[in-house]
Amino acid sequence: MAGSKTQLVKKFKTRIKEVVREMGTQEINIDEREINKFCELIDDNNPIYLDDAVAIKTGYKGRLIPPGYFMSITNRAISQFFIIIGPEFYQKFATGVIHTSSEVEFYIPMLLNKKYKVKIILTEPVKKTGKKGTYYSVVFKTSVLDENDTIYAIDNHEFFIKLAGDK
Amino acid sequence: MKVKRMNPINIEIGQEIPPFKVKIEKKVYGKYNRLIHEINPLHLNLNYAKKLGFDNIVIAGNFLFSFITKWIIDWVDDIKFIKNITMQFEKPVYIDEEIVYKGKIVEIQNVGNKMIIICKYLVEKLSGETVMNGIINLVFINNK
Repeated sequence: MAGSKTQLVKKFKTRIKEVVREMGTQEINIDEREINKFCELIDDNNPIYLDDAVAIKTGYKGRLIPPGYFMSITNRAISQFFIIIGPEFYQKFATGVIHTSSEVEFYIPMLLNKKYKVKIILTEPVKKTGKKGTYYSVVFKTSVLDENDTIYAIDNHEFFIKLAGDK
Repeated sequence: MKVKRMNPINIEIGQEIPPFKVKIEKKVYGKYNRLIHEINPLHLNLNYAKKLGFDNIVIAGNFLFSFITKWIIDWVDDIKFIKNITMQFEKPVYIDEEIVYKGKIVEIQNVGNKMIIICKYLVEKLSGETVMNGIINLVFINNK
């Protein structure tokens, strides 16, 4: 029984790393329509996101992507992980996955109408036991970079993953 | 009052960030989920959320994050000052619930020509229940 659990943990660790490797770096394209809609939804009328002339006057090369949209970008990349790993993940490994924390670091404001890419690096899953039982903490270190590999921001997006058989 | 319009040197430990209240309505959240191509059924499907033991559709952390930066940028009046934000989720926020973002300055560090302002914040439901907390680091460059 303990042996099969050890095997499961080993397979789980191997599989999540394989999927992230398979994903590689993803190109992202964020257009004006998307940012206009986002600003409308959160009721943010800051002109540096909406008006090139104001953004340029403020010292930027053009409109910016709101920093608040950054985690929507990383979330989309991480969702891709769950799409690729597919139902197999829940059938073989996990009984629950929950986003428990994030630490976001901003380096450079993101210009709209610029090519970006997203890269995920996984931390080694760490077994933890707490009030909610035993689970594995996995951090998806998700970076947004440009074509020259300059980092704009990083989201250390932590999930608690409960494995089959853990209470 | 906005920080940029004050002399940053006059910023004090204990100073509160003006609270920000928001209610995330079902219609708005649905539009956000379509915009970002959300796939997690916890954020889309009431039956699924209930099956997992939640009372309603759970608002995703990434949408709650959107309001942190808006709140802080409205206060400091410039996006460049935000360097780092942490978020720890404690309780779920459901659609149509009203939440309040509250924070204050807890530490100020002067490093070379940089002033690093460390703020602690929490997000509460109107009942007073804390749903999320974290730290925001702001960095001001003094060019004088």
